Amino acid sequence: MTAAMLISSGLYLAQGALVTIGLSFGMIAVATVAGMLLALLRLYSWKPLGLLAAAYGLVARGVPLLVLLIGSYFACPTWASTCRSGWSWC
Amino acid sequence: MDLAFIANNAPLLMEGAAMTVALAISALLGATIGGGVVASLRMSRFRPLRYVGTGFVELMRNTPILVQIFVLYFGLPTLDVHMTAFTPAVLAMSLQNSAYIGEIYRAGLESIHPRQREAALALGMMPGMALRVILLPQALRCVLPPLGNQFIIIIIIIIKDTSVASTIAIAELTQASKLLLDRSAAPYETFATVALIYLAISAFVAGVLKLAEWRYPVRVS
Repeated sequence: MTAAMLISSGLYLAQGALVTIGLSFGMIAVATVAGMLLALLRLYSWKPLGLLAAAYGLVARGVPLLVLLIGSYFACPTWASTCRSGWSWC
Repeated sequence: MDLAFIANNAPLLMEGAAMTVALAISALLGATIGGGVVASLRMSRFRPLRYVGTGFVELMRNTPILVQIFVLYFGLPTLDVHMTAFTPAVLAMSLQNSAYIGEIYRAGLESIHPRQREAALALGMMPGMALRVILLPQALRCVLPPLGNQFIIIIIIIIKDTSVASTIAIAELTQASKLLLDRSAAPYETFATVALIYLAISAFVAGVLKLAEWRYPVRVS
């Protein structure tokens, strides 16, 4: 019964897997570029900027992803009046 | 800024933080012990046991913690195993991190030349004694500093992963912040405070471990 359910919902799951893969590639691309930028800032930039980059790294690594996700999602509407979830939120 | 709101709800956040710490400590204990089991499986003389160990490590390291928690939380009741939400959360985090910690143990033991063990066995030691008297002391001395850093990273990952337990209605810090968000419209204040609490917990743990490392240095002789 469970197997039949899995097969019938297979397409749905496959769509979800596609979104997972798409999100992963998008994040890897952004993170690679942004990580390089942060490293350059920390190493070769004006000192206060470097400290700012270091502080950003501390916060981004020390706070759970779920908190960052929910926090940015709910903090956004107070920023900009229009806010959609998905690629173009904020 | 609405700092009074945070001050008024500080008890709720503190209770959440206490639950986060309780989850993290339980999961760390489970993972430290489970890691030993994983390492001994992966280094077993019997091939089937090694396969079981490898399969377990790959399964645990390559599935998200959220999926593991859901499988235990929604799956165990279908097998007529009933428990509070705390147990599946701790169990999932223990299982996943025992795979990581087991690999740390294994790396430490495998860094000792196999002839050390052969020599110990040739001198008439039982395998258990060789492990206790010859292999473990050397493994601990040589690899503790680099592995200690990895261990700190895993502890911080466990602390951060406890936030996922909020999805199965455990009243930890992230859950508390969601509750505050529903009660009010102060997302900035709430999430800045929660982020600070998480940072404080992680910084405290990392600081204590660094202090221990400095106070009790590992002698490499």
